[in-house]
Amino acid sequence: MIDTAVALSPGRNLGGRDLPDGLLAVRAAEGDEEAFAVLVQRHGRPLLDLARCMLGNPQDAEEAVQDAFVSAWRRLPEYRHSAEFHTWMHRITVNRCLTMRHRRPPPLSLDTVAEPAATDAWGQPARSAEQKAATAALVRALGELDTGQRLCWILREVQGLSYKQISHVTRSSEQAVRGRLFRARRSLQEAMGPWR
Amino acid sequence: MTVDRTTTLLDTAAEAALAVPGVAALQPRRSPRTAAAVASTGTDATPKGTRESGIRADRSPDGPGWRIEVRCILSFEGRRALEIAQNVHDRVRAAVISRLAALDAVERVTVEVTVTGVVTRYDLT
Amino acid sequence: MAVDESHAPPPESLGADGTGPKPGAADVPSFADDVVTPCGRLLSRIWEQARDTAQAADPHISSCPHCREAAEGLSAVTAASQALRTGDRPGLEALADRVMNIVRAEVRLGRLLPLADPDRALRIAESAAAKVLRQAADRVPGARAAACRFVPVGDGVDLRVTMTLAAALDRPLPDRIHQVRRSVLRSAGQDLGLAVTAVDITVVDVLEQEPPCRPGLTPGGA
Repeated sequence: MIDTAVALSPGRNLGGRDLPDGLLAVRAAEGDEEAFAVLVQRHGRPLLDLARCMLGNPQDAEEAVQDAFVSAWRRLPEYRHSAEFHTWMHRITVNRCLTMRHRRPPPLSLDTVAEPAATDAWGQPARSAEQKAATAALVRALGELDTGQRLCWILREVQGLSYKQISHVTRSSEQAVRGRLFRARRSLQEAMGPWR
Repeated sequence: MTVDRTTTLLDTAAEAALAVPGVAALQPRRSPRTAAAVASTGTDATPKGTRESGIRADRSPDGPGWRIEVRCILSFEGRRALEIAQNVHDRVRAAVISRLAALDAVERVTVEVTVTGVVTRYDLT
Repeated sequence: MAVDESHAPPPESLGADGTGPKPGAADVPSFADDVVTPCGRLLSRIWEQARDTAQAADPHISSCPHCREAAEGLSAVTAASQALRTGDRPGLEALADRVMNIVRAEVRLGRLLPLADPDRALRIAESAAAKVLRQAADRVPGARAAACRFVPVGDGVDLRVTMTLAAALDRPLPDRIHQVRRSVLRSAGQDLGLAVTAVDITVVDVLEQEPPCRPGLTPGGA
């Protein structure tokens, strides 16, 4: 018979870092903020990458992902677990980005691009105005892609995952992943026509 | 006059509640600024005597007197939530009655205590 | 991976290691909108070789001018996406702090439960009580609480706890459930001062085993 210690003594960290998403989501839905903090740590980076690709700059990406997490916290009691938590978060984030894009479209012309500086807001050596405009056009085109195609493209091209890893994350076959990747590339190639 | 008195009572109640061992903070109401103070330091960084500080002071709906509601966050440190809440109740009530007496007012005071959160060791790692 | 060169390989064999069929095959398009170059290669395959595979699977694609021009078609996209790959990544810490500040200010109180004192109006938010009792359950090795709800019993301060659990299977479940029940009851009485009369426990998930953790070590990140 184990006599478990009642005092909240230090020892094994039971903060929940080892718990699966579904369990954490149930606890967070009941008001457990620590469980939610673990989810934020776990999913924050991929969502920031996604938002950056959809919005074109890190500041907007931070704002979008922050809004997405707060929205998720408020809606957790209604989350029915029919989709995986990361898929649910992905959808919320994409919707948030689309709303922000609608209100604040990425720069359209060379004129609206930032003035020259030694390093730009992204910490890179200053790129030419044309390079920046090209990236802006790419981001716009990414926003227009079908969700599945966009996700596969970002996971492959920005996050460097293999087909196998992408198929796990998206719960689809590698063949489906390759098909979406191909279609995404075709659409993007067309959109980038003027920059060839 | 009533407004001043309410503020006085809010201050009195907040000070008494925060002095009880085991009370980590008062529960802020939807104010990110004060919540940040609670989350980071857990100390008395919330402004006393305001709506944000987790105390409500109303005239009793039934008959003369005051009703004080205290919303607080506890850190256990070896005490039971029940005992901490009882202490909060008793000390706040005593402090408010004493304050009213100093203002030449003898009124009934009822106190309700709601524990809205608990800070455990794990929160601090 | 030997493949009969005279017909297109079946879909299941594609992509296992990211490489396509053996060179020289006159490919049947595997995607509806795929394009076949004059020299008989699939555009999708050319692009995959340019962007996705580590080794050159098809030497023809690397050398043929048609194929190289087709691969060139992606260069604008690749160049424009460079900034997305290597650009400054926003920090997660500041973001996480801001999110948690907002979350903590919007604490979901849920229902209020009576503490066991008939003479004073003392209550505790269900979420706060649940947090403490979940931790009591978590202290039992091989158990992790999921949901924790409370149901009033009678007119007074008595409560019934309903808890769901993830449990490891290295011990008989009834034993583990019993341990959790004892831990939860003890915590309800000694940490909180709640009058819990019963604890209903349902195991809803299997807990993956992990190596025992020595005090002072934190478990690896997920």
